[in-house]
Amino acid sequence: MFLRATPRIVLPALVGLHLVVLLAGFFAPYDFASQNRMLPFAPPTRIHIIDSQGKLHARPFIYQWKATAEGVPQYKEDHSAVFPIRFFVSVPRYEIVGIVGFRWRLFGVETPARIFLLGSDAYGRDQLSRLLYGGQISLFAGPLATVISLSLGILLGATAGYYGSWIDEVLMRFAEVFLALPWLYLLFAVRAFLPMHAGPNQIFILLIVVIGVIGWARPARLIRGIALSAREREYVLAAKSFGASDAYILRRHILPQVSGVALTQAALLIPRYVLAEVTLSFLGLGVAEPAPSWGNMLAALQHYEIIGSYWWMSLPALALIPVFLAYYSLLAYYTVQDSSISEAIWKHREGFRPI
Amino acid sequence: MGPELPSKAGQAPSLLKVQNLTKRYVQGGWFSRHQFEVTALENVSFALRRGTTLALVGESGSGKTTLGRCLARLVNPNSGEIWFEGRNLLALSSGALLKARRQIQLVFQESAAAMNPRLSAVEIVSEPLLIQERLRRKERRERALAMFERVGLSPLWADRSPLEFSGGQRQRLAVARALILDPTLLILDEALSGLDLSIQMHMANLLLALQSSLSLTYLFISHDLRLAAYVATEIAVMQRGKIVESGSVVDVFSNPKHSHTRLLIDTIPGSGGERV
Repeated sequence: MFLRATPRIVLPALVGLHLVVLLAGFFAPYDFASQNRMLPFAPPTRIHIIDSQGKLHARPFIYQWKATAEGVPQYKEDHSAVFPIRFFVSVPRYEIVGIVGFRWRLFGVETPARIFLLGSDAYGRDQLSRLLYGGQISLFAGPLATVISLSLGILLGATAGYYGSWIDEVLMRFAEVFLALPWLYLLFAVRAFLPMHAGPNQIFILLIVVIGVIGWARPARLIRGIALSAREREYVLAAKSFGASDAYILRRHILPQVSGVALTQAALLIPRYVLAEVTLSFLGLGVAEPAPSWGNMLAALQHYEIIGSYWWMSLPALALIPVFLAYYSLLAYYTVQDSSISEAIWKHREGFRPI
Repeated sequence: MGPELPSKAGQAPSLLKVQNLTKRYVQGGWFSRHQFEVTALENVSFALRRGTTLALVGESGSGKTTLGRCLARLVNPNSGEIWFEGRNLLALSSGALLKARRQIQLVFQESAAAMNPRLSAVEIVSEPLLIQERLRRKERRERALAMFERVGLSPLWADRSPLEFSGGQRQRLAVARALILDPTLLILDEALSGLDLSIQMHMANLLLALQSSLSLTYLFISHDLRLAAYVATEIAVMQRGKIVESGSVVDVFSNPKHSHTRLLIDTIPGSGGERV
């Protein structure tokens, strides 16, 4: 029963997560690049309702962090002033994904205090804001690159399987080269040939194209198998005897059978491609500072003292876990749905339904 | 019109005339050293008069299905000619072939395999209209439902999956699909073979009734001589890709000349012939 409910729970959660990330400007209290050199590596801000004198406040508030030592990022709360958390604060106009202008943020505190719900990094930038903005790159790299991979895979796989003969031979030998090479190293190699310095938007598009194109082979092989068996079916032969064109047969009889494999592959490829973007950015081959990505945020962890002293710096890695869990539960669902097991199970449940 | 086809005096002219049709399959892969050829059809020639039924009988592997598929232009023969209504089907342009396909329709043995289980019954029956006439959905449906009634299926079943029909009903569905383009020649490739005897009889009678009301010509491919004799007026016996004997059903059955024909007749269950 849980398995059947999976997409109903997981899909809205994923869509919600992507929406939050897309609207990072609204949910994040600060811009991803706004620095505060006085507060490097500030720990997550504590939210209070009872102040140091034991007085209860109706509105949750924070205390400002105050450095305790010169040159070392050690802080204690400055109890001299209370900064209540305000909702729907008005800010200077910013743009959501570069399109829609907006003047509000969900929450914030008055200056000079800063609210760092997930701490701050070496430049005193808010980790939560960077995490949300970084998700725009890391989370969307997965689905967008998957669209490229699957489109190429369906196009080339269906062509190879349907036409067969030398087209099949050439395309599949080519695919085997891609499958035989270690995928991640191939990605590095191809990335190394391409320009390193460009705007974050250009780099993002470059990344998804490279990741997507390199991953075409596996979906293509699977879809080729489906097309290969489907074209031998007698109903395809019947359609040919009515005078159906190749395009008609592909569209009406072959591609509908691909949907199950395409969904399974999507659920498999998306988290893999999210991880690919994170890896590239972690190694400095992806999106460059100051634009955040979950990968380049984690790059700071290459320093041992940061991993050892400032635990909140590794939160972007933890953020990947629910994303992966969500996609892999979808993968499990679609795999079972796509397999013959489901036919056996569901045949008895609600009458035969060819999936 | 092409060349005048020879026809015996007092008889209907030939609708279909096949001359020296040969089809060979090459077995073994590109790199295999053991490529060898299988001859599925060897110099097959016959004529089929309008409004009649020719039964093509023979053992499995004798080339009956390949012949049917050559006529439906699903398989390209290596050599020979197929004259249909005065035109050589093997020399048509693709546009003319698309038009000619309307006239020749094929009914497969395995109706379940010949129907896409993702489509509904009405979509399957109206598929030729979608391909050939690009009619709107509503018109296609109307014509398909009319055809449902013609072959004795309830229009109420139109939106079911083909897998929900019984074997006999599904074969009616296959006949409805084959008839929807108003063809002149129907190639029935073992169309009744998968059915049990009483349903075979119903279907055979349906086919005969449709033949007289729509003036259809049948090529009835079967391994079952009794059924062939019931449906057909003429019979051609195939063995290893060749037609070894042909003639009217009465002549061939009463006086079989070729040893293979005698063997086939003798092995009809209950015919009193020797047991094999």
